[in-house]
Amino acid sequence: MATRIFSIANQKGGSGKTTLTMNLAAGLNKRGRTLVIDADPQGSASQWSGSADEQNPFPVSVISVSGNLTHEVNRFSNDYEYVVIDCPPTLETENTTKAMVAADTILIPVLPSPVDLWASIRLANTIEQIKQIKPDLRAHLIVNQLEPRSALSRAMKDALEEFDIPALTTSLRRRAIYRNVAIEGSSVYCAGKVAQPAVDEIEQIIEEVL
Amino acid sequence: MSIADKLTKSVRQAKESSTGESENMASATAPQDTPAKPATDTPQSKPSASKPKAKSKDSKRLEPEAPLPPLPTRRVWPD
Ligand SMILES: Nc1ncnc2c1ncn2[C@@H]1O[C@H](COP(=O)(O)OP(=O)(O)OP(=O)(O)O)[C@@H](O)[C@H]1O
Ligand SMILES: [Mg+2]
Repeated sequence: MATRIFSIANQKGGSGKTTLTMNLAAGLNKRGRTLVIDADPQGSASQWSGSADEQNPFPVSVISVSGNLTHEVNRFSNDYEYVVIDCPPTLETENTTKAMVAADTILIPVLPSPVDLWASIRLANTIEQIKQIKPDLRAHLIVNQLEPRSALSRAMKDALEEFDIPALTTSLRRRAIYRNVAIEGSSVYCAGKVAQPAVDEIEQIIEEVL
Repeated sequence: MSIADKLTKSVRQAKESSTGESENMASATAPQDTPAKPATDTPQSKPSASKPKAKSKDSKRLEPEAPLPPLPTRRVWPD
């Protein structure tokens, strides 16, 4: 069984890495055993799963890694079909680079805002470098907190074409449910009918990346 | 100019000004760790919520100690 490793990265803070990590992991877990590695010293993914009550635990194990990420990925990945790594908002730590080198697929959530786009250029350059040692690495930008009625959101499609990294056709819309499930320590998959549009988004993302 | 054009233009400019100022990745990809520390040695991970089983047999695809070719050094363009 070949483990698929997804690293969710962007050195820009608040772009939606943890939100994507946790919901993506919940969706992947329906297809095969999944592990979340929390590589961010802020510990948001761990706190997210720790917010669940005992009767209703987050469906995916979350381990927090502060040591050598490569060792930990090697150690755990044999037991899992999918591993999702939540990266810290920096390119300056070794574990961010290690997470990207370990990945089969890097997903880069980016907010529909010029400042966030500009900041992602540096990450895109870094990924191009990693591709030189790992040519089959896949990387995708993914627009998060899309607001279809906003002009900037609509302008994203063209702007993203300036990047060498392709964007997924599916975006995550700005939805209150993504915030609410964090406090419950759950995912959009466990949030009932109101979360169905969010589930559909995550499912489409999974279809695109698998 | 429309917002879409402005945004696209700004990204293009940011891209151009970032040329040559790429990350030095060699430090993180080169084998700088002290070699052959067994995975089961000191615990480096704090399992949260539920604890996954540790198993270190035949770590396949990732070879932390395997030397990776160095990345190209930063390019400096003449003025
Ligand atoms: N699609 C969305 N709709 C609504 N709120 C969202 C969405 N995605 C993320 N958020 C909210 O935006 C904030 C930042 O998201 P998140 O913590 O996932 O980003 P991050 O990239 O992990 O941040 P950091 O860089 O600090 O690790 C959070 O409050 C989160 O609940
Ligand atoms: Mg985070």
